[in-house]
Amino acid sequence: MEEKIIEIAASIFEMDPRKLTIENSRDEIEKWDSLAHVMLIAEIEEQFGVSIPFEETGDIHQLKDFLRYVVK
Amino acid sequence: MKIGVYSNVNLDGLCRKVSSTFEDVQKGEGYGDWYFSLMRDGIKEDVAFIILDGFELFRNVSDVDSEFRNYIDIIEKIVSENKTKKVFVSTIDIWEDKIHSVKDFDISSMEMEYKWTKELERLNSQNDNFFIFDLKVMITSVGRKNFYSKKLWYLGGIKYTNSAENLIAEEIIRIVNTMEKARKKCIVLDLDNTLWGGVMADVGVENIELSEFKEGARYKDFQKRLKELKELGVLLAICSKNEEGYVDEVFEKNKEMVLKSEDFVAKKINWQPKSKNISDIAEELNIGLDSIVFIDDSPVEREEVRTNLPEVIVPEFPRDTSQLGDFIMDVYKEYFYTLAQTEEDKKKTKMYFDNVKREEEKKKSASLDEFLEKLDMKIHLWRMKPENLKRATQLVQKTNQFNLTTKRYTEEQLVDLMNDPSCDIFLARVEDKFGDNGTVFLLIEKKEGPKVVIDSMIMSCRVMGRFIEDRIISYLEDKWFEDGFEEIEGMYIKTDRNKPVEDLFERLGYDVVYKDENKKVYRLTKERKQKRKEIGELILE
Repeated sequence: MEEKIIEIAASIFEMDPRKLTIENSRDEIEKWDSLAHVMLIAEIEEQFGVSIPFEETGDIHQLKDFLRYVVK
Repeated sequence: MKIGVYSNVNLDGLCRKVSSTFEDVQKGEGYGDWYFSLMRDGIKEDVAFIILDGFELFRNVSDVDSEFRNYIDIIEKIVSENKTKKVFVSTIDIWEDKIHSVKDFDISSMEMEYKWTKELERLNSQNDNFFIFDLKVMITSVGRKNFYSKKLWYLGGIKYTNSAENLIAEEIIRIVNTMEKARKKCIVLDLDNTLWGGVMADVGVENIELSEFKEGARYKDFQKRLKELKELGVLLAICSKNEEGYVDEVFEKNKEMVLKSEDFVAKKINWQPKSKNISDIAEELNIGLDSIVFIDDSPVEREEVRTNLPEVIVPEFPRDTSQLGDFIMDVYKEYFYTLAQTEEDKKKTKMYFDNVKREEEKKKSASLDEFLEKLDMKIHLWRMKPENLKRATQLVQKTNQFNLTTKRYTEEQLVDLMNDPSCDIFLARVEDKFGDNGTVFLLIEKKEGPKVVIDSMIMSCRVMGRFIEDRIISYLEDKWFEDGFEEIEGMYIKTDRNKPVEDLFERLGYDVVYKDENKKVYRLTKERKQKRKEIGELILE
């Protein structure tokens, strides 16, 4: 799970996945801008077949926050 | 190649996706005024994709008809003011969730979509640089529920789902690839369980699975798609382990066969390894192994070809043969995707057969010279005109073997050269008693003070070995010397494909003035000009 999230994030941020960890947050990653945020949500929803409620999208700050939705 | 993406909705994510394949992707500014920069500055990229959301185009617009006219006028203006750029404009889908009674049925959106498409089709038929980007069909084929995302719209003003953006991005990438890379040339096909169901030698000619409906339609539909590919200029060939007599019988007797014997430029029906047959086909057609796609249902045969001819493309055959239609569509998109068919494309197979007749004549002739004399060639030479642009671009972009410098000018650069007074572009078309070979020769000359530089000299490989270049160059040399030029400079730049013309200028009697590993520069002066072979009739147009 974690690896897949990192892989998805890395492709959106156009970064080397080895430079990302699940602990990374929006403040630390320059490429994690508002567009990247929306793209990330869209990609995670599709790849894992889950839905992240609109209200909670603003509460995602770290990559690990996605784990809440994908680990069921 | 520079790509521009313009839209009335947020397609920033899409641009990022496209830019992972092509670096140079620009997005238009602003959403409401997507056409503003296009009107003000023109298209700065080589190709512009204008992707429009139907609903947003007419949101809160009171006079829909006049707004519609306005948009079409804008698009028409953009297209006509940017003749050297390719412009893709999307069809539209107007979708609004609205509550209404069953009885209350509104068709205005559908009417508008239709009117829009109709205008695009008009622009398409009137402008060579205009193309329709069929967004509506993409939406219909995956469904609106999968194409639009409410969540992304409310979150970031992004209208389309991630997978929808992927679809659009894939199409853009495919189109740009088509402009940059040569497509493949030939499909080599197996017969039993590929072109029809069942093993013909076992079940008999009449009992193979091939019919308009039900089971046999899998193969008949597949053949229909192959026929369409042939019409686009793709050469078809057969490679089958079978008895030749049976195969002739299928073509003669089975009425369900969409593909006829004469649709195939080569038939290898024998028990030799398929890799051997495929290399023979490549040789006969004078095409590279890397421009062949091989389709066979047998994994053993596919593996044999993959192992022995790694350059040949061997796609996996679908396990579920009801998917044959999707399979061949994917093959088309991946290897043969075509933006616009040229006159040459339509005649490809016929031209090939004319060539077979030429080969037969050649065998009958006592000598090459006798054969060439008997061919009765007419070489038409003229200065390039705007209507030749499509074919000229094709020659420049796709000719590998008879290409002295392999400078891959884009369509736009060719227009600039055509309009440059210090340059001239010559084209030649060759006819002979067996048929028309089409426009097969291109030469770009650049005048540099007292000398003329042959910047590019390109000839289609199907007319190589007929001394056509001698005839043309001889005429041009006389003309240049008459015009007062003192010397002619030629050049050969080595690639891994143009060995056949490595010593062309030597043969034409030019002096080598510079030489290194990758390049040779030549010179010819009036005094050094030799008598050339003059075969065929040169007609100036």
